Amino acid sequence: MSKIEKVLVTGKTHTTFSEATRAHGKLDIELSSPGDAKPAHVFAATQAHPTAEQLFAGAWSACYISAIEHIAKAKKVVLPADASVDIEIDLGQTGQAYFLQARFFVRLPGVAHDVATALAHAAHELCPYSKATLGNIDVALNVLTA
Amino acid sequence: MSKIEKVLATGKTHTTVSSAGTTSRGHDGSLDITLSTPGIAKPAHVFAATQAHPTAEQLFAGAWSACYTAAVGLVAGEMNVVLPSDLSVDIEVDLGQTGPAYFLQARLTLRVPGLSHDIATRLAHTADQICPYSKATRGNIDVALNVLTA
Repeated sequence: MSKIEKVLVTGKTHTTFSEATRAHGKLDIELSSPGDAKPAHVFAATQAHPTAEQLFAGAWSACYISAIEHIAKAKKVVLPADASVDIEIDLGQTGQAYFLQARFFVRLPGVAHDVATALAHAAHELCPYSKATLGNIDVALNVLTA
Repeated sequence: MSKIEKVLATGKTHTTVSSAGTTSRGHDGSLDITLSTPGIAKPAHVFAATQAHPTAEQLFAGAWSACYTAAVGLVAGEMNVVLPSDLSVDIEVDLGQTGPAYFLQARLTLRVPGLSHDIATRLAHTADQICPYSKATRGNIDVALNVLTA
């Protein structure tokens, strides 16, 4: 894995379980889950014309938040209604070569920090986007419980 | 890398290079997104998804295809190859299952009408070597690379 020397662009998304949030002037996409017709996740990008990095962050966050839900159910942890996942994907350069790196902010207000941390790590083991990029890109995982 | 036994969902995208700056609305009810390229204010790629509420797989296919299309342009410039204006990249990303575990796999199709098959194949593989989305998934997911010149 190569370390990024210079970040060129960052795609940021904020994903929640709710479909209530609508920010103006942004691209908000309601995502479907396979086998489920109604929109299950709301993906808020931060500009009208998203970059590839925002789309990727949106894909990853939709999958990752589902993985958290799945593991919470298995561990009998009740998730707060305001649970959210923010993902920032950087496109960067090292010499002439282009690389990606990612930062995760998992916010689970009211959940004990060790439980939240265990959930966040277990979700990475399960989520196919995390597995698809494992060992190839640098991922920082941050857990917030307040 | 685990082989997918059962495909659960497939995200398909069709990406073209556009200077028009408008979204194309080909299919009724489909979500068409115009994408930006870093450092360029005007939209550079048009990404046509195939349903109103995209799945994660469509978004990922859209991200990868925008990047891959840009990589093809870069490589063509270095090879002094003139790309056809009707170039397109179709990507299908499958979400699948093997036992209880979930995995992704992908099919990339580069369409460059009028180019020789040799040159098109070199373009496709070199672009796959430099595209950061290809690098991010290398060795972890199964990727089929197809080239069409007609």
